[in-house]
Amino acid sequence: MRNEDNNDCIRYLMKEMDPSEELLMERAMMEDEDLLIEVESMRQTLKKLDQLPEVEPPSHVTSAIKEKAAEQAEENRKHNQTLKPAYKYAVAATLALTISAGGAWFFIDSEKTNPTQQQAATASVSSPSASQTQDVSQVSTGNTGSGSTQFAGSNVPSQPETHPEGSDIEPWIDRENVLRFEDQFSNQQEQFQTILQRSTERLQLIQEPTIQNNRVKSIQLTGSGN
Amino acid sequence: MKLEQSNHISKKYQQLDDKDLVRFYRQNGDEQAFSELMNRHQTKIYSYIYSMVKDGGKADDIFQETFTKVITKMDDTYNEQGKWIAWVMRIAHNATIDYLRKQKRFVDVSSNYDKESNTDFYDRLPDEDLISAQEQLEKDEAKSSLMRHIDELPEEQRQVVMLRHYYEMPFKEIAELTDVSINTALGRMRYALINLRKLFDKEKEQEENSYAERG
Repeated sequence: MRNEDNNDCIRYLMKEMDPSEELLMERAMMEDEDLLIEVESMRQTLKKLDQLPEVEPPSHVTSAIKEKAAEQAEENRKHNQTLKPAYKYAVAATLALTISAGGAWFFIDSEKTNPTQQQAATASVSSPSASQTQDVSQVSTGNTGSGSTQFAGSNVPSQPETHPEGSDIEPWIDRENVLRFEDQFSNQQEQFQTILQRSTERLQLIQEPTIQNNRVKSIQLTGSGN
Repeated sequence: MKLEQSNHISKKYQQLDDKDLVRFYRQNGDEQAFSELMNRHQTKIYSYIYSMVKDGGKADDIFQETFTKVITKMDDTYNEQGKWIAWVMRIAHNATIDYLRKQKRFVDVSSNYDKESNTDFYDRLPDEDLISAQEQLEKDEAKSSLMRHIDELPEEQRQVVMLRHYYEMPFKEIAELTDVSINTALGRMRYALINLRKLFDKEKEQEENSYAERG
């Protein structure tokens, strides 16, 4: 008989078996007389253990423990009381920090998402008149026929300086015009310089890059649109 | 004594389960909740310790040490998801085993005599006036015989018997507490019962022989 099988006697006697296992065990005992004798013998011995005495701890020991428990409880209460205001301050400080961090994040985020708009707005407001754009486009269209001086910006989307009311304001983007001028106008330095100058004139440094006021940006954008 | 202590505690506490009492003590420092917990379990815990060390003074020390740890460590180490009494029993068991390991060479395992207070194990039991002297004598003899045989068991087997008897602890928990597999714990219980049966048989045989010699 395996050890696990032997332990089944104990599990059966100690009622640590499932009902189905109990049923199998009882069937096995019916078939195997030795097993039945072993289980009954163990049951008799186990019954004797019921006589094991219970001993009360001495009263002075239990009293001492209860006194100690009372002292500890008092300490815990005091500890909790002294901690409570600190907890309140901690919660308030955490809330304040969270709000500040949230606000800062909001402004930083909005600053990151709008710099092109801001630049475009600044550029548009300070850009020369539409005639300059016309000049550039004239140059480009005028030179369309000549192979080497072909204005590479033919693939550049038109950048309207004036916008019809209600249309979205598009930021002005150079789209590599200036870089490609260098190659294609190398033989015509004067013309290249003119185009380069006109193009770069439209760019203007942002005076106050740290402005984070959305309202200001809105004014600039509105102003450029009009 | 236990009854007197219980009377001081309102019935409200007696109706609460261990988990709620522990929570009351931890959160509100409720002393009555702790007293109720102690009243419920002190006898079994003390009986287990006493049955293992067989020394009243030492049992008192271990019992006190156990509850001092319970009081001071409850906030840090007790997880409310587990049974409180299983946690306390683990502390009591570890303290008892520590003591037994330290004293192993000096403990006279076959003696029930309490050297410190000059009393026997059964002198500490509550008086049972209603039982006749003869019945008491027979009962004491049976108990004494049982305790003597239990003392003769190997320590591992005795532990399992006591934990099962005093706490009706499932073998899974006994296995966890004693750091063995469940089959080992079951095996220890089985061998304990087999050994006890042999010891009782031997005792019976000796009694019969002594009767025969007298006759």
